[in-house]
Amino acid sequence: MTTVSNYINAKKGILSWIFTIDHKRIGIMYLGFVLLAFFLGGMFALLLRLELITPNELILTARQYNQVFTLHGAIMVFLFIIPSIPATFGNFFLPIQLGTIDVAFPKLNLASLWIYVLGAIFCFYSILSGSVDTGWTFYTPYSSTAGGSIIPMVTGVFILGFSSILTGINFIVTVHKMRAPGLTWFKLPLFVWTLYATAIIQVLATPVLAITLLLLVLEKTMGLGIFDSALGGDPVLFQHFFWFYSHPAVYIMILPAMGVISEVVATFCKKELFGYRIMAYSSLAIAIIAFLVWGHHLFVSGQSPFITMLFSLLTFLVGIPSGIKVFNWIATMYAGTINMKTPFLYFLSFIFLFTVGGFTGVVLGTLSLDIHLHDTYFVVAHFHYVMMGGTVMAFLAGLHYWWPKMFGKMYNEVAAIVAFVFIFIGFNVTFFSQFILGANGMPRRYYNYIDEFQLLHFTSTVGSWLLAVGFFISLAYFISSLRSGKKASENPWESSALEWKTASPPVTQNFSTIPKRIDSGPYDYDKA
Amino acid sequence: MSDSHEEHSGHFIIPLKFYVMTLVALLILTVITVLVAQIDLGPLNIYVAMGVAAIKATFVILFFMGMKWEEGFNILIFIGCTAFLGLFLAFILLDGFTRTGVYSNEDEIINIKSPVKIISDTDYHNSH
Amino acid sequence: MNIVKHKVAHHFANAHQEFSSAKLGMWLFLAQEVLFFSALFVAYAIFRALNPEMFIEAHHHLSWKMGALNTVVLIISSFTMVMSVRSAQLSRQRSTFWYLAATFFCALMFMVVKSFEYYEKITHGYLPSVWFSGEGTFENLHIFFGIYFTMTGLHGLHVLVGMGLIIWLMIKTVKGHFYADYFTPLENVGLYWHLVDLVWIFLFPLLYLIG
Repeated sequence: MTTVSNYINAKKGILSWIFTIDHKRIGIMYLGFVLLAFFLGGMFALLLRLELITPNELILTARQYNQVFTLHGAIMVFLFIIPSIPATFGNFFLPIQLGTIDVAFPKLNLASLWIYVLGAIFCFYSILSGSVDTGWTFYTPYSSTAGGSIIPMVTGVFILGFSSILTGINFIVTVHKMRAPGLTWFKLPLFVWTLYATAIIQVLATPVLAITLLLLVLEKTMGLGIFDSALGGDPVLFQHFFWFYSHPAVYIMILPAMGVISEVVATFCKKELFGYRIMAYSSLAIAIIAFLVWGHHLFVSGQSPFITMLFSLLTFLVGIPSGIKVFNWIATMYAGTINMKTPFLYFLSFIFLFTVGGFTGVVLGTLSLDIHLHDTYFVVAHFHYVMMGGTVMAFLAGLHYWWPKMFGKMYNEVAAIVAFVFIFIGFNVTFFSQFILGANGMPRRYYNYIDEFQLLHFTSTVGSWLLAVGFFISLAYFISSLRSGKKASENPWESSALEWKTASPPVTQNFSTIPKRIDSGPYDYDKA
Repeated sequence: MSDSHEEHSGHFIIPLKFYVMTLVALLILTVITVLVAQIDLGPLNIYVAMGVAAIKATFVILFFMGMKWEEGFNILIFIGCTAFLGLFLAFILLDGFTRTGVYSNEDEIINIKSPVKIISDTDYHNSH
Repeated sequence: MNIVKHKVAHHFANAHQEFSSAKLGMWLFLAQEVLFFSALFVAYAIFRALNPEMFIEAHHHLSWKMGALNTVVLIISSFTMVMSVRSAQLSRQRSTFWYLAATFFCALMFMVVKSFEYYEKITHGYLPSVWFSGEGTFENLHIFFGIYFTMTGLHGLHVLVGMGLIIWLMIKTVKGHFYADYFTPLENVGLYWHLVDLVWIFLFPLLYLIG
């Protein structure tokens, strides 16, 4: 066997990774950190579900329970989902899909990786030095008066925000300035479009989170007096500030997932994506509407009834571009040559789960229903269907789809399908039962509950074990693929996208010869 | 990648008069805003002050920051971020004005002399 | 002075692409700066709209003369900044350096005036609630000073960062890095510096010139 030079073996030694400015290596390091965060957040989730199997104390005290759900939320949101797709697949594939050799600012890219790690260190320091039990939303006045290690955690999230902003700036500039000659806007893969829309939100929304958290620290240390009602402040103002970022952040999480799904459906149906242009525009539309709906998190927080109605109305608007996307993915399958491989299975589960999650979102946006369902397990189930059923399924679709390209190895297809079945069934068992729990009135974040709810809580906990089994099977076959997987060809899925026209794994320069000019679109299956 | 930056030596150099005139305009506007503030116009004062500040900002953006000669998309970014700032302000002010009673401090709910109370471990969930 | 030729980074096709990428990146960074400050302006607007009399009383504790002086100083520093970029565009390195030095001096002066103001507030106890010991008819007077210190403090922090960047530019100028074909860092720091000026243009009437 001859060893061909590629980005993995081009340079040796740990320092060649730490100081690399190769976007592919940075993407791979992000992948490692993000998966570590997912593992940790997942462990906390398993602890929570185990505790909730009975209404009584089992393994956690009430305070520990509050800390664990806070950590589960904070780690999953800030350390896993937000960087998950843009920072890993985005970093790895954006320049390749643009036919260029790197992002616009490679050193800035490396900086955002290590800023991410620095932020994560602060978060872990917080866990070790007293932990946080405010919930991941850090609502005042509790967060500005409670004990525990809130300041390190908030500092960590503040730092993570800057990692996200820098990635966003880098991606926008890369898409604008680094496209190969001939590659016009409407020849870009949809993954690039969604990353672009995501980056807009990252740049415009994340600084508001940073300043909000800074104000929270000032409130806590010097009694600024704008959030704490005891000092004349307004706690609802904090919620406005927080959700001005955190609602658009939901679209930072889901938009890149939609991009991955678009790539997967085109490749595995061997067909041009249905309604390509409207898909591109709807990505941008989602990014803009994302900023107009944050108030639906404050329906029962004491904001004015007038603004509540306004936000409810605007919330329904998000359904339009999202609906267009779901319709177009389904229409793409029509008359396609469907190749039922693992990434496609994850695509199917994404469509199903995201639709459930999106539809229950409309339910929650309805004022009268929200008053009943607010802060119940219905909300918990809703955002897990969107975040996990949407983003994590798309992340897994992308991981299986691009794995051969990233590592040059194939994984065991049978094992992957078995894992998929566990994950899909486990997910629905865990979270569908929570819809019923919520509709029956089980409030979220409660440590104990009435005995009538035990069967549903028990079901949900069993589901979490099925999920865990699925993820551990995935871990096993991915590790075995790295150690002894079959060598992947250049284009195992017979895709027409640009990243499949280079070696697996790619060389450091991305292409053995940099494309002089690109005239074909990403989904030209008919012309091939 | 070819090293061909000789071909792009011609950066546009903004004529000096724009800079000098901007400086003069900004100084005059500063004097105006200070003078107007000495006269009591009631609630109008804030609008005048903000209006003058907006004019000053426009001068800085157009000439000092070179927006007048800038690429279209860079202009869009700046207008866009100001629009989002406006949106942020508008929604929250709308909430503030249509909400009654929440902000008023007539009932003396504020007591600065009472220090921030940190909840102790023993107070926390006494039942467990 | 001698000129050190700039080498275009390996992943850019030419100097124009490199320059316009850097410029676009900087504008995006400025956009995030605007939104970073936005929450402070929103907080200010809400509390001023609902406590107009308290804000009027509070602003009498600030000296508008010092504020106006600082406004003039910052405006002049913005002017010297554009002049230093212009000098670099004309490859006049000596004047690039001296205009930068003037900008730095203005920034320093701004910080000196600011520290006099802070000293005055601190000695009279007009501070955020934890240290507040000032006199006033309104019980929530401390909110104004909380907002005042946060806004001017963050702005001052940006001035300090700007001063650091200007020193870095001065060193690079002396080494001869900036000339007609390459002045990207100067241009971008200039943009940053004007944004700092912009923020102050709004802070001055909002904090010092209330009705």
